[in-house]
Amino acid sequence: MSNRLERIYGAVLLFIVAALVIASIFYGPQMWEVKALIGITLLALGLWFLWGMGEKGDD
Amino acid sequence: MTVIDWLLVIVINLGIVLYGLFTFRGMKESFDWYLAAKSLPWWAIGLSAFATAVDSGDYVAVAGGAYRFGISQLSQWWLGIAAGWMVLSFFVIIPMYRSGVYTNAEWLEFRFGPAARVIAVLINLQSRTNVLGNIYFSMFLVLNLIGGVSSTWSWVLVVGVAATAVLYVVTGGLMSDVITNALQSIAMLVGAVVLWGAVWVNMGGWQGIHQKLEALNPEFSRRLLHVGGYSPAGVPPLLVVFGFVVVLIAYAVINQYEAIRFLGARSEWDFKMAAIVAALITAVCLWFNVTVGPLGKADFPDLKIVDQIYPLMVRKYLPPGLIGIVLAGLVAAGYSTFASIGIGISSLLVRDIYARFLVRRASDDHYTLVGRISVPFIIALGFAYVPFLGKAGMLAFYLRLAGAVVVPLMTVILMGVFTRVHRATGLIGLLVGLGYGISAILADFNHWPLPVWYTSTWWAYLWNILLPAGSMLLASKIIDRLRGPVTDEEIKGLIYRRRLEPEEDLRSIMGRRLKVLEGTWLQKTLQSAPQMPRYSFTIPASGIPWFRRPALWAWLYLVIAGWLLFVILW
Repeated sequence: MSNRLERIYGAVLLFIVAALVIASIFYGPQMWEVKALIGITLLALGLWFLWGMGEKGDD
Repeated sequence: MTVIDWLLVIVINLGIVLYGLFTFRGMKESFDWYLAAKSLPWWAIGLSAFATAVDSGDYVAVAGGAYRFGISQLSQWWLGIAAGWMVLSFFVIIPMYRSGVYTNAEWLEFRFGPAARVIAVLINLQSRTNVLGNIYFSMFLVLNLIGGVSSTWSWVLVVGVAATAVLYVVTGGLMSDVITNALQSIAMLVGAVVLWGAVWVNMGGWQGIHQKLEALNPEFSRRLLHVGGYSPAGVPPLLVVFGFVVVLIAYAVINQYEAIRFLGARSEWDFKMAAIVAALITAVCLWFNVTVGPLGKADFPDLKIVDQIYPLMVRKYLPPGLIGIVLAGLVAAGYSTFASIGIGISSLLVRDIYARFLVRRASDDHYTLVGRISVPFIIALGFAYVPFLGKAGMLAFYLRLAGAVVVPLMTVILMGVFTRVHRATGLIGLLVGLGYGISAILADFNHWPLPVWYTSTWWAYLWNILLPAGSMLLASKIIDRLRGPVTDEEIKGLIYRRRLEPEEDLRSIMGRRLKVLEGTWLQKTLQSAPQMPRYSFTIPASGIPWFRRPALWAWLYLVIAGWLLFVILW
């Protein structure tokens, strides 16, 4: 896997997990703050992965 | 468990597995497959050492153990394993890394002869396949009790996880194992934090749990919430802590599946720094796992099967979504250890048994292929232990076996690294240690009328150090008198030295040290092993800055851990 592909793969994986965690708030509102925090952190990490790809110009 | 929880478990773990499977496929030579071409950086080795050491059993069984023994177990994870990794990376691994061997058993033959090599392989094989059995059983409990999956389907899923772990190790070898471990370690840590946080808040923190345990039985809070609180009849608390510490120092020193990732480091500095990373992340993660035990005691005081406490706490305190996160961490913990045992034991079976005694002169490709083929068989062996687990708690079972077989091997390795004892003494030390250990287990199980200081697990750790070490020193003194002392040539490159030996010298000595290796694949790989640098970076003219000094971090860690254990939490 090239570096670029690895970053895209990692970001997509993080976005999917973030979406699932945030979606789980609708299954049960208990501890929604924790779920939101985990989801947002994962989203931010995914974006950082993609941003890093643009910055470094990896191929 | 809801659909979303299952999706989280599958996406997180399958995502990591597929990454490992497709990213590291080009490992063709044995040097690449077994040792990742000695290219591993410190952070990956450290995270991997943690993920290798901490399996799903170390969530389930450790919580179960702490439910019975209390937080005395923290001494294992804060001090024992940290000291073990530090002894390994600062001392034990140095002669192995420099001499170009692939396994610690290989070094044992150079230092103590072929019998020591074979015994080390057998001990590693027994202890790691036993651990595999523990993990299978703990994963089964988790799926059965948290996931609500039927017994049959829980076992089918456990087999599925083991089989997929085999796939990425077979294709990518050590590199795939270490990098996936590093990713899995993040999932493991998040899982541990989430459960602990939820329980801690609900219980009202340390004060709340103290009050709840006091209300149940004042004895519980004294025994479970203090590191020095657990002491069986005839065993002082300090000896219990000593036993916990020794068993995990032994773990780090003898286990090839830990050593192999340190041997794959790109420099000596990297594997020393890795020990600090591993110690830190383990301390954090195991604080969460251990304290779940006493927290659970306050909620479920009368459990018959103590290993059920972790799954029960997950079900009681976590809502949908977070259950999936915790379960994903537990499954990741299982994956990481399956894979590490696969590559570690494979390296022993191929180099120390197959290539050493059975097929000596085949091609490099042949030995890599045999290594790949051996992995599924190793992983499958763990299922042989499953029927014996779950009766008296996994931790107690493991502690008993470890005391008998693992500690004597650690003692022999340490004697070989730090002293100039004769080559013939290794087997003597092992036989004395194993003889005592097995006799103590037999005496205990058959209720022979022997004193507690002979039969108790906790005393056994002490005797399993003193008896092998003493017998080796004594035997060495006798051989000194009969044949003269050990020469420098005999132990050159095999014992711990701060300074590097000249490369040509060492390669040539290692290549011709054992006549039996003449013309074999083992000899070729030893002679062609590259001499690695001490540092993976350029040292500034002003010297190495303080934050890049592993010894400083090691001391700082040990002092803080010791203060917390023996002053604050004692």
